[in-house]
Amino acid sequence: MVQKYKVEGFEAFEAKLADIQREFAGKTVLVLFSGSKDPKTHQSWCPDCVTAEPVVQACLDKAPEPEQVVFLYVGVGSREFWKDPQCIFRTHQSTQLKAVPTLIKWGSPQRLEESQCNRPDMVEMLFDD
Amino acid sequence: MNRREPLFKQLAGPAEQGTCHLPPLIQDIIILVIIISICVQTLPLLVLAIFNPGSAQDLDGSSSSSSSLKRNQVAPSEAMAPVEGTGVKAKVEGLIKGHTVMVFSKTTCPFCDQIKDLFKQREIQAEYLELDTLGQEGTDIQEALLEISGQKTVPNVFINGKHFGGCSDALSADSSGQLKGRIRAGFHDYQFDTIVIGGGSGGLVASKECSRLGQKVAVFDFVQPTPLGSTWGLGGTCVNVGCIPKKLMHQAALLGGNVQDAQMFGWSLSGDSKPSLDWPKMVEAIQSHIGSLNWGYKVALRDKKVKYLNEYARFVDAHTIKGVNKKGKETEYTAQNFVLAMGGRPKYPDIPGAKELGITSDDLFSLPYNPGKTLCVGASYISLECAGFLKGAGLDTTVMVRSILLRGFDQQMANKIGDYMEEEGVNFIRECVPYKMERVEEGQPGKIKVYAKYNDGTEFTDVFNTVLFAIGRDPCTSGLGLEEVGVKLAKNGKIIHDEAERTSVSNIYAIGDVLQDKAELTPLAIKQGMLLARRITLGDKLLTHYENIPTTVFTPLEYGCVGLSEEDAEAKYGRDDIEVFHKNFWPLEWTLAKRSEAACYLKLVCRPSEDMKVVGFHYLGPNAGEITQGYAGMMVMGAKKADFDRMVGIHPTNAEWFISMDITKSSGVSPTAAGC
Repeated sequence: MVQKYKVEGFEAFEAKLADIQREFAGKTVLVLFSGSKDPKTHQSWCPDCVTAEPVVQACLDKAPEPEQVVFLYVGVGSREFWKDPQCIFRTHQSTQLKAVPTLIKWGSPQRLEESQCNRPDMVEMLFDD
Repeated sequence: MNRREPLFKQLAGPAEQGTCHLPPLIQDIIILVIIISICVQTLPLLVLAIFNPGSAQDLDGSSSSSSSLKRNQVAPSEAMAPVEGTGVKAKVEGLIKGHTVMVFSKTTCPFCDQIKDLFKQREIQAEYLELDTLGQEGTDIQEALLEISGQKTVPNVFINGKHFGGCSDALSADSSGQLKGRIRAGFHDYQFDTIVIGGGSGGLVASKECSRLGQKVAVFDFVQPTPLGSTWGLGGTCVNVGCIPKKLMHQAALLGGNVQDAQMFGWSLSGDSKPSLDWPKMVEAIQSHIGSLNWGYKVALRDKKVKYLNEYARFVDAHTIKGVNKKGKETEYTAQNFVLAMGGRPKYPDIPGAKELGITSDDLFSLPYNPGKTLCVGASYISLECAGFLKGAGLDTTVMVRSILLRGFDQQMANKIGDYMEEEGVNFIRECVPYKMERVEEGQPGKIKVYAKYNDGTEFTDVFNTVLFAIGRDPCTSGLGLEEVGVKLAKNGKIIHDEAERTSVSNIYAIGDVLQDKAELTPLAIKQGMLLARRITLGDKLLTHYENIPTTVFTPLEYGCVGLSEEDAEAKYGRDDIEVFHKNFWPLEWTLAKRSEAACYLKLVCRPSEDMKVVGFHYLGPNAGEITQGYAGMMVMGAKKADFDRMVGIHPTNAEWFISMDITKSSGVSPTAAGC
């Protein structure tokens, strides 16, 4: 099984990522940045994120070496927070997001953005070496 | 359609007469229902088909047909008379196999009319069978079509013996540009229409374009590690070990120079130390950028539905290759066409120690440690560019030259490049060839003693930290079984080809650095790949144009050229039909920096017999790539000296000097420019 974690906001993301890197050194860490979900509807405000999440989850369940993969889901916040050009997820050196959803193989240049995250054939490429 | 119109207005004759006063949407729906009922005679049958997995899986028309016939026989409709034995099916299959484009249609179906119009417009020759004119046989054929293709509706289109789809499939394939390519792909049972070997600039473009135009395509890319163990990702030489890292290292070197110039412009640097370059940091930044490019190519291939195989390909026969992956697993693949785009790799000299101790450009750009005192062997543009940025990075740099600089380039310009590099402090050892290398000390970098001999027999020895060979490149054409399947190679291993980049085997083509007697330039490979893909898929006639190819050498003083060198122009047209206009210039940005006044130089080689048509453009100065690319447009259009003269300049620039060139070489007047 792929180890899965879920956090909200930048600080929690940084903290959790540091934990993961300590605890699972050497494993593939996939981070999905997504528009945060409405607590009532449990749906993200971002339509592409809504489409992407089950696709990414399904791919994780089919990962060729699931014990080698750690998955971190990050809610980047409300629509207003994300749309601010100064949003920390956009500006911070470590993330430099341009869009949500963005799925990153952490520590590599491999990232998928927006509708690319909806395609299982694209997501699967992140499991290649 | 650029206006909002009822969806089926043009299809629906009666509604167009203005007798129908329903709102457009309802009108559309009614017409749609009518059309569906025309095209699908019996809805129950369609339902049956959906729930009848036997017929859906029966695409290959294999032996299970009798069982599906039985099921049809019990269906509760008169219109569903049993298909008589296999006779009808065999007839349908015969029609499908017998025509490049086979359309089963009905005279009453507007979608069928639409497809007929489309094919007529596109001049696509198709065979039509009108099922509604055949009575019971038509119904039986429709049954057989359902069995064969899983599609009951008309029009039912087959291309090259394979089921293609209905009207909307044809329309969308037409608008995406795939229809013609699919048709031209021809009848064959190979796995792919085209396999491209080599995922460099040319191969990637060719594969994506073939796929975009309707072909089923795979691209093979496999990097054999260097003797030192360097390897890289998808994208070929240019991206990984060529243009991209080279230009970035060149930029790193230029920045160092600019930091020094800055002080002359009034900037003060904290402390008074000279700027120093952190080599590992530069390499890490460059490699990180390359990594994102590699990833981008992978994503693009998948997006364009090109199958990427990280396998080393070897020909079995003219339509079959065997791929070997990293783990040694072998797989066979077949294709109608092949495009050879393997590119080239640096040569090593055949001297003791070369492969064990030397490196090439394949290693330099990912070298994790500062190479230190470096000897660049060779006077190719690669050698001079590397020496240039290594010197710019602050290293003790030497170039060992066997005979001339930049063979094939204009020699006056080549020597000016060399002079400037010497002025910048690069050592030149001329004319001299190494014959032995020995390790003096291990390390990163270690120490290597190089033994060489001058032309006159005098010995040369010196100790360097790094020895870089840039003495030429070999095409990657051996070990692929090319000659065994009939692809003819020239003595130097390059591929012999015709003007349409076809090899001696009719279904095997070649592009890029493997081509005999063609320039080894990424943009040229891209152009070749793009045009070849269109010739293969669409039957286009357009050939790659090999005249006026611009290029730039990114030496410390950059050199850009288009067209002929002065020597080549003289050889081609004779000295009497050559007039050379030239000029020295001092870039404005160099004045305050107190840089050389005599280094930068321009030259236009013209033909008096053709009204001073410019046949050679040469620029030695800052930003040569940008300037030369712009002027390449004029050269392609056949500009004359008068066209250059009538331009208005942009002041103050270096490019504007081309407008006021009035000193000819033959006049003997000094080309040194008077001021602004």
